[in-house]
Amino acid sequence: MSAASFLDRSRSVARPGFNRWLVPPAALAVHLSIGQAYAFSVFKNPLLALHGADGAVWNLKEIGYIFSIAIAMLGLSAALFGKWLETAGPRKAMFISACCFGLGFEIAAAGASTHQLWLIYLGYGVVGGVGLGLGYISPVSTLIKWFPDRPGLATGLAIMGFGGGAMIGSPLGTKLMAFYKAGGHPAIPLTWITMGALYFIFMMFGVFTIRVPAEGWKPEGWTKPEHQSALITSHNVDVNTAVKTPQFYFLWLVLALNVTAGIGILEQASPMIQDLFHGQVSPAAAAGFVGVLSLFNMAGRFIWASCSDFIGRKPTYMIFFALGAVLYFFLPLTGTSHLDSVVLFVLVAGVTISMYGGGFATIPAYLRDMYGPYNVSAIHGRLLTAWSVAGIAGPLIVNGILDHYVAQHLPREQAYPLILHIMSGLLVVGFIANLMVRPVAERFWMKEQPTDAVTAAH
Amino acid sequence: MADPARTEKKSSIALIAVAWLVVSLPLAWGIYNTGLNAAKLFTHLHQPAPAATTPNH
Repeated sequence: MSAASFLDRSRSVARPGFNRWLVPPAALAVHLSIGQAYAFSVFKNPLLALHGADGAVWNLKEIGYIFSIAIAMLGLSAALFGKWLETAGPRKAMFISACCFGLGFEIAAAGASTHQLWLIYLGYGVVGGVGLGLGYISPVSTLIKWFPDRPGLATGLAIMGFGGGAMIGSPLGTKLMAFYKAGGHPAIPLTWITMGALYFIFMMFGVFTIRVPAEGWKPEGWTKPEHQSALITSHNVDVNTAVKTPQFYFLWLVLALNVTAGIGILEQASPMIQDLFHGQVSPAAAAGFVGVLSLFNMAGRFIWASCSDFIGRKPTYMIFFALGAVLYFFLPLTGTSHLDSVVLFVLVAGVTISMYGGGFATIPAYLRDMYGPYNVSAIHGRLLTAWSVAGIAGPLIVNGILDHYVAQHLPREQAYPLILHIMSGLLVVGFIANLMVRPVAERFWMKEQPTDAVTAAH
Repeated sequence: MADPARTEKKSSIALIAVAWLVVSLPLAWGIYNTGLNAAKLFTHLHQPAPAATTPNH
Protein backbone atom coordinates (compact mmCIF):
# COMPACT_ATOMS: atom_id res chain seq x y z
CA MET A 1 0.00 0.00 0.00
CA SER A 2 1.48 3.31 -1.02
CA ALA A 3 2.13 6.10 1.45
CA ALA A 4 -0.14 8.32 -0.61
CA SER A 5 -3.10 6.07 0.11
CA PHE A 6 -2.82 7.17 3.74
CA LEU A 7 -4.40 10.39 2.55
CA ASP A 8 -7.42 8.65 1.05
CA ARG A 9 -10.77 9.23 2.60
CA SER A 10 -11.24 5.49 3.19
CA ARG A 11 -8.06 5.43 5.32
CA SER A 12 -9.31 8.24 7.52
CA VAL A 13 -12.58 6.58 8.59
CA ALA A 14 -12.61 6.43 12.39
CA ARG A 15 -12.48 3.11 14.18
CA PRO A 16 -15.31 2.30 16.60
CA GLY A 17 -14.53 3.96 19.93
CA PHE A 18 -12.74 6.93 18.37
CA ASN A 19 -13.47 10.00 20.46
CA ARG A 20 -14.88 12.87 18.40
CA TRP A 21 -13.16 15.42 20.66
CA LEU A 22 -9.93 14.58 18.84
CA VAL A 23 -11.33 16.18 15.69
CA PRO A 24 -11.53 19.85 16.82
CA PRO A 25 -7.77 19.95 17.65
CA ALA A 26 -7.07 18.64 14.13
CA ALA A 27 -9.21 21.42 12.66
CA LEU A 28 -7.64 23.98 14.99
CA ALA A 29 -4.12 22.99 13.92
CA VAL A 30 -5.01 24.01 10.38
CA HIS A 31 -6.96 27.15 11.20
CA LEU A 32 -4.45 28.41 13.77
CA SER A 33 -1.81 28.12 11.03
CA ILE A 34 -3.60 29.70 8.10
CA GLY A 35 -4.94 32.49 10.35
CA GLN A 36 -1.39 33.83 10.12
CA ALA A 37 -2.56 35.59 6.94
CA TYR A 38 -4.26 38.24 9.05
CA ALA A 39 -0.92 39.02 10.69
CA PHE A 40 0.83 39.74 7.41
CA SER A 41 0.98 43.45 8.24
CA VAL A 42 3.96 42.80 10.56
CA PHE A 43 6.07 42.26 7.42
CA LYS A 44 5.01 45.49 5.71
CA ASN A 45 7.63 47.83 7.15
CA PRO A 46 10.50 45.29 6.92
CA LEU A 47 9.57 44.69 3.25
CA LEU A 48 9.53 48.44 2.62
CA ALA A 49 13.05 48.64 4.03
CA LEU A 50 14.41 45.89 1.74
CA HIS A 51 16.69 47.03 -1.07
CA GLY A 52 17.47 45.18 -4.28
CA ALA A 53 20.99 44.82 -5.66
CA ASP A 54 20.30 47.88 -7.83
CA GLY A 55 18.99 49.85 -4.84
CA ALA A 56 15.33 49.41 -5.90
CA VAL A 57 12.67 49.49 -3.20
CA TRP A 58 9.01 48.49 -3.10
CA ASN A 59 6.19 50.85 -2.20
CA LEU A 60 3.29 50.26 0.16
CA LYS A 61 0.81 49.70 -2.65
CA GLU A 62 2.96 46.98 -4.24
CA ILE A 63 3.39 45.27 -0.88
CA GLY A 64 -0.35 45.58 -0.17
CA TYR A 65 -1.08 43.39 -3.20
CA ILE A 66 0.58 40.39 -1.50
CA PHE A 67 -2.21 40.13 1.09
CA SER A 68 -4.90 41.01 -1.45
CA ILE A 69 -3.78 38.20 -3.80
CA ALA A 70 -3.71 35.73 -0.90
CA ILE A 71 -7.27 36.59 0.18
CA ALA A 72 -8.54 36.57 -3.41
CA MET A 73 -6.98 33.12 -3.88
CA LEU A 74 -8.57 31.99 -0.61
CA GLY A 75 -12.04 32.78 -1.96
CA LEU A 76 -11.28 31.41 -5.41
CA SER A 77 -9.75 28.13 -4.29
CA ALA A 78 -12.46 27.55 -1.66
CA ALA A 79 -15.09 28.01 -4.36
CA LEU A 80 -13.24 25.88 -6.95
CA PHE A 81 -12.02 22.98 -4.82
CA GLY A 82 -14.93 22.64 -2.39
CA LYS A 83 -16.64 19.97 -4.48
CA TRP A 84 -13.38 18.04 -4.92
CA LEU A 85 -12.80 18.19 -1.16
CA GLU A 86 -16.12 16.44 -0.49
CA THR A 87 -14.92 13.39 -2.45
CA ALA A 88 -11.21 13.48 -1.64
CA GLY A 89 -11.81 13.82 2.09
CA PRO A 90 -10.45 16.24 4.68
CA ARG A 91 -7.08 14.50 5.19
CA LYS A 92 -5.97 14.88 1.58
CA ALA A 93 -7.28 18.45 1.47
CA MET A 94 -5.46 19.35 4.69
CA PHE A 95 -2.25 17.78 3.39
CA ILE A 96 -2.38 19.75 0.14
CA SER A 97 -3.27 22.86 2.13
CA ALA A 98 -0.21 22.32 4.38
CA CYS A 99 2.03 21.78 1.34
CA CYS A 100 0.75 24.92 -0.39
CA PHE A 101 0.85 27.10 2.71
CA GLY A 102 4.35 25.95 3.70
CA LEU A 103 5.69 26.05 0.13
CA GLY A 104 4.19 29.51 -0.33
CA PHE A 105 6.41 30.81 2.48
CA GLU A 106 9.50 29.16 0.97
CA ILE A 107 8.88 30.63 -2.50
CA ALA A 108 8.20 34.04 -0.94
CA ALA A 109 11.46 33.73 1.02
CA ALA A 110 13.32 33.25 -2.27
CA GLY A 111 11.55 36.34 -3.57
CA ALA A 112 12.54 38.42 -0.54
CA SER A 113 16.11 37.12 -0.72
CA THR A 114 16.52 38.03 -4.40
CA HIS A 115 14.27 41.10 -4.19
CA GLN A 116 11.80 39.79 -6.76
CA LEU A 117 8.28 40.82 -5.84
CA TRP A 118 6.62 38.54 -8.39
CA LEU A 119 8.03 35.56 -6.52
CA ILE A 120 6.40 36.81 -3.31
CA TYR A 121 3.11 37.31 -5.17
CA LEU A 122 3.41 33.77 -6.54
CA GLY A 123 4.53 32.23 -3.25
CA TYR A 124 2.64 33.87 -0.42
CA GLY A 125 -0.17 35.15 -2.66
CA VAL A 126 -1.04 32.43 -5.15
CA VAL A 127 0.40 29.17 -3.76
CA GLY A 128 -0.11 30.16 -0.12
CA GLY A 129 -3.58 31.50 -0.98
CA VAL A 130 -4.64 28.10 -2.33
CA GLY A 131 -3.43 26.65 0.99
CA LEU A 132 -5.60 29.20 2.80
CA GLY A 133 -8.75 28.37 0.84
CA LEU A 134 -8.37 24.60 1.07
CA GLY A 135 -7.40 24.76 4.72
CA TYR A 136 -10.28 27.04 5.62
CA ILE A 137 -13.01 24.75 4.31
CA SER A 138 -11.34 21.35 4.80
CA PRO A 139 -12.51 20.56 8.35
CA VAL A 140 -15.95 22.17 8.14
CA SER A 141 -18.14 19.34 6.85
CA THR A 142 -16.19 16.75 8.88
CA LEU A 143 -16.85 18.69 12.09
CA ILE A 144 -20.52 19.05 11.23
CA LYS A 145 -20.77 15.28 10.69
CA TRP A 146 -19.04 14.54 14.00
CA PHE A 147 -21.19 17.04 15.90
CA PRO A 148 -24.72 16.78 14.47
CA ASP A 149 -25.97 17.77 17.92
CA ARG A 150 -23.78 20.91 18.15
CA PRO A 151 -22.68 22.00 14.65
CA GLY A 152 -22.35 25.64 15.69
CA LEU A 153 -20.02 24.81 18.56
CA ALA A 154 -17.87 22.56 16.36
CA THR A 155 -17.43 24.94 13.45
CA GLY A 156 -17.16 27.87 15.86
CA LEU A 157 -14.17 26.17 17.48
CA ALA A 158 -12.39 25.73 14.15
CA ILE A 159 -13.12 29.18 12.77
CA MET A 160 -12.18 30.70 16.12
CA GLY A 161 -8.77 29.23 15.29
CA PHE A 162 -8.52 31.45 12.22
CA GLY A 163 -8.94 34.48 14.49
CA GLY A 164 -6.43 33.04 16.94
CA GLY A 165 -3.96 32.35 14.14
CA ALA A 166 -3.31 36.05 13.69
CA MET A 167 -2.52 36.33 17.40
CA ILE A 168 0.15 33.63 17.01
CA GLY A 169 1.43 34.75 13.61
CA SER A 170 2.01 38.35 14.61
CA PRO A 171 4.36 37.82 17.61
CA LEU A 172 5.95 34.79 15.92
CA GLY A 173 6.86 36.82 12.84
CA THR A 174 8.08 39.77 14.90
CA LYS A 175 10.18 37.66 17.26
CA LEU A 176 11.72 35.57 14.48
CA MET A 177 12.68 38.69 12.51
CA ALA A 178 14.25 40.20 15.65
CA PHE A 179 16.13 36.95 16.30
CA TYR A 180 17.62 36.69 12.80
CA LYS A 181 18.35 40.40 12.63
CA ALA A 182 20.23 40.23 15.95
CA GLY A 183 22.36 37.42 14.48
CA GLY A 184 23.21 39.56 11.46
CA HIS A 185 21.20 37.35 9.07
CA PRO A 186 18.67 38.44 6.41
CA ALA A 187 15.59 38.67 8.61
CA ILE A 188 12.64 38.27 6.23
CA PRO A 189 13.85 35.31 4.11
CA LEU A 190 14.96 33.29 7.14
CA THR A 191 11.79 34.15 9.05
CA TRP A 192 9.63 32.96 6.17
CA ILE A 193 11.69 29.78 5.70
CA THR A 194 11.27 29.04 9.40
CA MET A 195 7.56 29.88 9.45
CA GLY A 196 6.90 27.77 6.36
CA ALA A 197 8.53 24.76 8.02
CA LEU A 198 6.86 25.33 11.41
CA TYR A 199 3.40 25.78 9.95
CA PHE A 200 3.82 22.72 7.71
CA ILE A 201 4.73 20.56 10.71
CA PHE A 202 1.88 22.00 12.80
CA MET A 203 -0.64 21.42 10.02
CA MET A 204 0.59 17.85 9.61
CA PHE A 205 -0.60 17.26 13.17
CA GLY A 206 -4.06 18.02 11.82
CA VAL A 207 -3.51 15.72 8.82
CA PHE A 208 -2.57 12.78 11.07
CA THR A 209 -5.32 13.44 13.63
CA ILE A 210 -8.34 14.11 11.41
CA ARG A 211 -10.88 11.29 11.02
CA VAL A 212 -14.23 11.08 9.29
CA PRO A 213 -17.05 9.25 11.06
CA ALA A 214 -17.96 5.73 9.92
CA GLU A 215 -21.16 5.13 7.99
CA GLY A 216 -24.19 5.42 10.23
CA TRP A 217 -22.22 6.84 13.16
CA LYS A 218 -24.00 9.15 15.56
CA PRO A 219 -23.13 10.47 19.02
CA GLU A 220 -23.83 8.00 21.80
CA GLY A 221 -27.35 8.39 23.12
CA TRP A 222 -28.22 11.09 20.59
CA THR A 223 -31.26 10.83 18.40
CA LYS A 224 -32.32 13.30 15.79
CA PRO A 225 -35.00 15.58 17.28
CA GLU A 226 -38.45 14.77 15.92
CA HIS A 227 -39.58 18.35 16.00
CA GLN A 228 -37.13 20.95 14.84
CA SER A 229 -37.24 24.30 13.10
CA ALA A 230 -38.48 24.27 9.52
CA LEU A 231 -35.17 25.91 8.66
CA ILE A 232 -33.27 22.76 9.62
CA THR A 233 -33.63 20.34 6.76
CA SER A 234 -33.37 16.56 6.95
CA HIS A 235 -32.60 16.49 3.22
CA ASN A 236 -29.50 17.23 1.19
CA VAL A 237 -28.89 19.66 -1.62
CA ASP A 238 -26.02 19.25 -4.08
CA VAL A 239 -23.64 22.24 -4.37
CA ASN A 240 -24.50 22.85 -8.02
CA THR A 241 -28.19 22.96 -7.14
CA ALA A 242 -27.63 25.00 -3.98
CA VAL A 243 -26.22 27.92 -5.97
CA LYS A 244 -29.48 27.99 -7.95
CA THR A 245 -31.59 28.57 -4.84
CA PRO A 246 -32.53 32.11 -3.73
CA GLN A 247 -31.45 31.18 -0.18
CA PHE A 248 -27.84 30.94 -1.33
CA TYR A 249 -27.88 34.56 -2.50
CA PHE A 250 -29.65 35.80 0.63
CA LEU A 251 -27.02 34.05 2.73
CA TRP A 252 -24.30 35.41 0.46
CA LEU A 253 -25.65 38.92 1.19
CA VAL A 254 -25.90 38.12 4.90
CA LEU A 255 -22.20 37.19 5.04
CA ALA A 256 -21.04 39.98 2.72
CA LEU A 257 -22.86 42.75 4.59
CA ASN A 258 -21.86 41.52 8.03
CA VAL A 259 -18.20 41.34 6.94
CA THR A 260 -18.29 44.73 5.15
CA ALA A 261 -19.57 46.43 8.31
CA GLY A 262 -16.95 44.71 10.50
CA ILE A 263 -14.13 45.65 8.17
CA GLY A 264 -15.38 49.25 8.41
CA ILE A 265 -14.12 49.28 11.99
CA LEU A 266 -11.19 46.87 11.70
CA GLU A 267 -9.68 48.70 8.72
CA GLN A 268 -9.48 52.00 10.59
CA ALA A 269 -9.47 50.85 14.22
CA SER A 270 -6.22 52.52 15.22
CA PRO A 271 -6.65 55.91 13.50
CA MET A 272 -10.38 55.99 14.33
CA ILE A 273 -9.91 55.85 18.10
CA GLN A 274 -7.13 58.42 17.91
CA ASP A 275 -9.24 60.77 15.80
CA LEU A 276 -12.41 60.41 17.87
CA PHE A 277 -10.52 60.90 21.15
CA HIS A 278 -7.95 63.41 20.00
CA GLY A 279 -5.24 63.93 22.60
CA GLN A 280 -6.52 61.17 24.87
CA VAL A 281 -5.42 58.06 22.96
CA SER A 282 -1.74 57.67 22.07
CA PRO A 283 -0.57 55.51 19.13
CA ALA A 284 0.52 52.82 21.63
CA ALA A 285 -2.93 52.83 23.25
CA ALA A 286 -4.51 52.64 19.80
CA ALA A 287 -2.39 49.55 19.07
CA GLY A 288 -3.79 48.15 22.32
CA PHE A 289 -7.29 48.85 21.02
CA VAL A 290 -6.52 46.72 17.95
CA GLY A 291 -5.45 43.95 20.34
CA VAL A 292 -8.71 44.26 22.29
CA LEU A 293 -10.68 43.98 19.04
CA SER A 294 -8.73 40.82 18.11
CA LEU A 295 -9.74 39.24 21.41
CA PHE A 296 -13.40 40.16 20.89
CA ASN A 297 -13.20 38.88 17.30
CA MET A 298 -11.86 35.51 18.39
CA ALA A 299 -14.18 35.11 21.38
CA GLY A 300 -17.19 36.12 19.27
CA ARG A 301 -16.48 33.32 16.83
CA PHE A 302 -16.79 30.68 19.50
CA ILE A 303 -19.47 32.24 21.70
CA TRP A 304 -21.94 33.34 19.01
CA ALA A 305 -21.59 30.12 16.97
CA SER A 306 -22.15 28.04 20.12
CA CYS A 307 -25.17 30.15 21.10
CA SER A 308 -26.65 29.60 17.65
CA ASP A 309 -27.08 25.90 18.51
CA PHE A 310 -29.62 26.95 21.14
CA ILE A 311 -31.31 30.03 19.70
CA GLY A 312 -31.12 29.05 16.01
CA ARG A 313 -29.05 30.38 13.14
CA LYS A 314 -31.58 32.85 11.76
CA PRO A 315 -32.26 34.51 15.15
CA THR A 316 -28.49 34.73 15.74
CA TYR A 317 -28.04 36.76 12.55
CA MET A 318 -31.13 38.82 13.48
CA ILE A 319 -29.25 39.81 16.64
CA PHE A 320 -26.09 40.60 14.64
CA PHE A 321 -27.97 42.87 12.27
CA ALA A 322 -30.45 44.50 14.66
CA LEU A 323 -28.04 45.05 17.54
CA GLY A 324 -25.20 45.80 15.13
CA ALA A 325 -27.19 48.50 13.32
CA VAL A 326 -27.99 50.20 16.64
CA LEU A 327 -24.42 49.96 17.94
CA TYR A 328 -22.84 51.25 14.72
CA PHE A 329 -25.24 54.19 14.80
CA PHE A 330 -24.41 54.85 18.45
CA LEU A 331 -20.63 54.40 18.19
CA PRO A 332 -19.70 57.92 16.98
CA LEU A 333 -21.74 59.38 19.85
CA THR A 334 -19.20 57.99 22.33
CA GLY A 335 -16.52 60.39 20.98
CA THR A 336 -15.23 63.59 22.58
CA SER A 337 -17.90 65.79 20.99
CA HIS A 338 -20.72 63.84 22.71
CA LEU A 339 -20.35 61.32 25.56
CA ASP A 340 -16.53 61.43 25.59
CA SER A 341 -16.13 57.89 26.90
CA VAL A 342 -13.21 55.77 25.66
CA VAL A 343 -14.43 52.82 27.72
CA LEU A 344 -17.88 52.94 26.13
CA PHE A 345 -16.32 53.26 22.67
CA VAL A 346 -14.10 50.23 23.23
CA LEU A 347 -16.97 48.20 24.65
CA VAL A 348 -19.37 49.01 21.80
CA ALA A 349 -16.71 48.44 19.13
CA GLY A 350 -15.75 45.16 20.84
CA VAL A 351 -19.33 43.85 20.77
CA THR A 352 -19.72 44.79 17.09
CA ILE A 353 -16.47 43.00 16.21
CA SER A 354 -17.55 39.94 18.20
CA MET A 355 -20.58 39.80 15.87
CA TYR A 356 -18.30 40.19 12.84
CA GLY A 357 -16.37 37.11 13.98
CA GLY A 358 -19.61 35.37 14.95
CA GLY A 359 -20.91 35.86 11.42
CA PHE A 360 -17.97 33.95 9.97
CA ALA A 361 -18.25 31.13 12.49
CA THR A 362 -22.02 30.64 12.35
CA ILE A 363 -22.41 30.54 8.56
CA PRO A 364 -21.27 26.89 8.06
CA ALA A 365 -23.91 25.66 10.52
CA TYR A 366 -26.51 27.89 8.83
CA LEU A 367 -25.61 26.25 5.50
CA ARG A 368 -25.85 22.82 7.05
CA ASP A 369 -29.32 23.67 8.38
CA MET A 370 -30.47 24.88 4.96
CA TYR A 371 -28.82 22.36 2.64
CA GLY A 372 -27.95 19.32 4.79
CA PRO A 373 -24.44 18.02 5.49
CA TYR A 374 -23.80 16.33 2.12
CA ASN A 375 -22.02 19.17 0.28
CA VAL A 376 -21.71 21.73 3.07
CA SER A 377 -17.95 22.36 2.59
CA ALA A 378 -18.42 22.93 -1.12
CA ILE A 379 -21.37 25.29 -0.58
CA HIS A 380 -19.38 27.09 2.13
CA GLY A 381 -16.52 27.45 -0.31
CA ARG A 382 -18.77 29.12 -2.89
CA LEU A 383 -20.26 31.41 -0.25
CA LEU A 384 -16.80 32.61 0.80
CA THR A 385 -16.66 34.70 -2.39
CA ALA A 386 -18.80 37.08 -0.30
CA TRP A 387 -15.77 37.52 1.96
CA SER A 388 -13.56 38.47 -0.98
CA VAL A 389 -16.13 41.03 -2.19
CA ALA A 390 -16.60 42.47 1.31
CA GLY A 391 -12.83 42.63 1.73
CA ILE A 392 -12.75 45.02 -1.21
CA ALA A 393 -16.05 46.89 -0.56
CA GLY A 394 -15.45 47.64 3.14
CA PRO A 395 -12.07 49.38 2.77
CA LEU A 396 -13.31 51.12 -0.43
CA ILE A 397 -16.20 52.75 1.45
CA VAL A 398 -14.09 53.71 4.45
CA ASN A 399 -11.04 54.99 2.57
CA GLY A 400 -13.17 56.69 -0.10
CA ILE A 401 -15.03 58.78 2.48
CA LEU A 402 -11.88 59.54 4.49
CA ASP A 403 -10.03 60.60 1.33
CA HIS A 404 -12.94 62.88 0.42
CA TYR A 405 -12.85 64.59 3.83
CA VAL A 406 -9.08 65.03 3.64
CA ALA A 407 -9.34 66.43 0.09
CA GLN A 408 -11.98 68.91 1.28
CA HIS A 409 -9.73 69.91 4.23
CA LEU A 410 -12.39 68.72 6.67
CA PRO A 411 -11.46 67.16 10.04
CA ARG A 412 -11.16 63.38 9.74
CA GLU A 413 -13.19 62.81 12.92
CA GLN A 414 -16.21 64.29 11.13
CA ALA A 415 -16.04 61.47 8.55
CA TYR A 416 -16.58 58.66 11.08
CA PRO A 417 -20.27 59.33 11.85
CA LEU A 418 -21.00 59.10 8.10
CA ILE A 419 -18.92 55.93 7.70
CA LEU A 420 -20.47 54.22 10.70
CA HIS A 421 -23.99 55.27 9.76
CA ILE A 422 -23.47 53.80 6.27
CA MET A 423 -22.34 50.57 7.94
CA SER A 424 -25.44 50.71 10.12
CA GLY A 425 -27.56 51.04 6.96
CA LEU A 426 -25.80 48.04 5.39
CA LEU A 427 -26.67 46.00 8.46
CA VAL A 428 -30.35 46.97 8.05
CA VAL A 429 -30.15 45.58 4.48
CA GLY A 430 -28.52 42.45 5.95
CA PHE A 431 -31.40 42.17 8.41
CA ILE A 432 -33.87 42.17 5.51
CA ALA A 433 -31.81 39.60 3.56
CA ASN A 434 -31.77 37.32 6.60
CA LEU A 435 -35.49 37.83 7.05
CA MET A 436 -36.01 36.58 3.48
CA VAL A 437 -34.30 33.24 4.20
CA ARG A 438 -36.92 30.50 3.99
CA PRO A 439 -36.60 26.69 3.90
CA VAL A 440 -35.24 25.35 0.60
CA ALA A 441 -38.04 24.20 -1.71
CA GLU A 442 -38.55 20.47 -2.19
CA ARG A 443 -37.72 20.62 -5.90
CA PHE A 444 -34.08 21.37 -5.00
CA TRP A 445 -33.64 18.33 -2.74
CA MET A 446 -31.49 15.47 -3.93
CA LYS A 447 -33.73 12.79 -5.36
CA GLU A 448 -31.64 9.92 -4.05
CA GLN A 449 -30.95 10.56 -0.40
CA PRO A 450 -27.48 9.34 0.52
CA THR A 451 -27.75 6.81 3.32
CA ASP A 452 -24.95 8.65 5.00
CA ALA A 453 -23.37 11.94 4.19
CA VAL A 454 -19.89 10.48 4.59
CA THR A 455 -20.21 7.69 2.09
CA ALA A 456 -22.41 9.70 -0.22
CA ALA A 457 -19.51 11.78 -1.30
CA HIS A 458 -17.69 8.81 -2.84
CA MET B 1 -22.40 -1.59 8.46
CA ALA B 2 -19.29 -1.48 10.61
CA ASP B 3 -16.39 -3.70 9.61
CA PRO B 4 -16.23 -6.55 12.19
CA ALA B 5 -12.44 -6.50 11.83
CA ARG B 6 -12.43 -2.99 13.22
CA THR B 7 -12.48 -3.72 16.91
CA GLU B 8 -13.71 -1.07 19.30
CA LYS B 9 -10.86 0.66 21.08
CA LYS B 10 -11.71 3.80 23.00
CA SER B 11 -9.46 6.78 22.46
CA SER B 12 -7.46 7.39 25.60
CA ILE B 13 -8.15 10.47 27.67
CA ALA B 14 -4.39 11.18 27.72
CA LEU B 15 -4.32 11.25 23.92
CA ILE B 16 -7.23 13.69 23.83
CA ALA B 17 -5.56 15.88 26.46
CA VAL B 18 -2.26 15.90 24.52
CA ALA B 19 -4.08 16.79 21.28
CA TRP B 20 -5.78 19.73 22.96
CA LEU B 21 -2.50 20.80 24.57
CA VAL B 22 -0.75 20.83 21.20
CA VAL B 23 -3.18 23.45 19.89
CA SER B 24 -3.93 25.24 23.17
CA LEU B 25 -0.33 26.11 24.03
CA PRO B 26 0.42 28.18 20.92
CA LEU B 27 -3.03 29.74 21.13
CA ALA B 28 -2.47 30.65 24.79
CA TRP B 29 0.90 32.18 23.85
CA GLY B 30 -0.82 34.22 21.14
CA ILE B 31 -3.59 35.36 23.48
CA TYR B 32 -1.00 36.29 26.13
CA ASN B 33 0.92 38.44 23.63
CA THR B 34 -2.29 40.05 22.38
CA GLY B 35 -3.34 40.66 25.99
CA LEU B 36 -0.05 42.42 26.67
CA ASN B 37 -0.66 44.59 23.62
CA ALA B 38 -4.29 45.22 24.60
CA ALA B 39 -3.20 46.34 28.07
CA LYS B 40 -1.47 49.31 26.45
CA LEU B 41 -4.92 50.74 25.72
CA PHE B 42 -5.41 51.26 29.43
CA THR B 43 -1.83 52.12 30.40
CA HIS B 44 -1.18 54.61 27.58
CA LEU B 45 -4.36 56.65 27.86
CA HIS B 46 -3.83 60.35 28.51
CA GLN B 47 -6.28 62.14 30.72
CA PRO B 48 -7.89 65.02 28.86
CA ALA B 49 -6.42 68.34 29.90
CA PRO B 50 -8.65 69.89 32.55
CA ALA B 51 -10.48 73.01 31.51
CA ALA B 52 -8.80 76.20 32.69
CA THR B 53 -10.41 77.30 35.91
CA THR B 54 -9.83 80.28 38.11
CA PRO B 55 -9.15 79.64 41.79
CA ASN B 56 -12.37 80.06 43.64
CA HIS B 57 -11.77 80.36 47.34
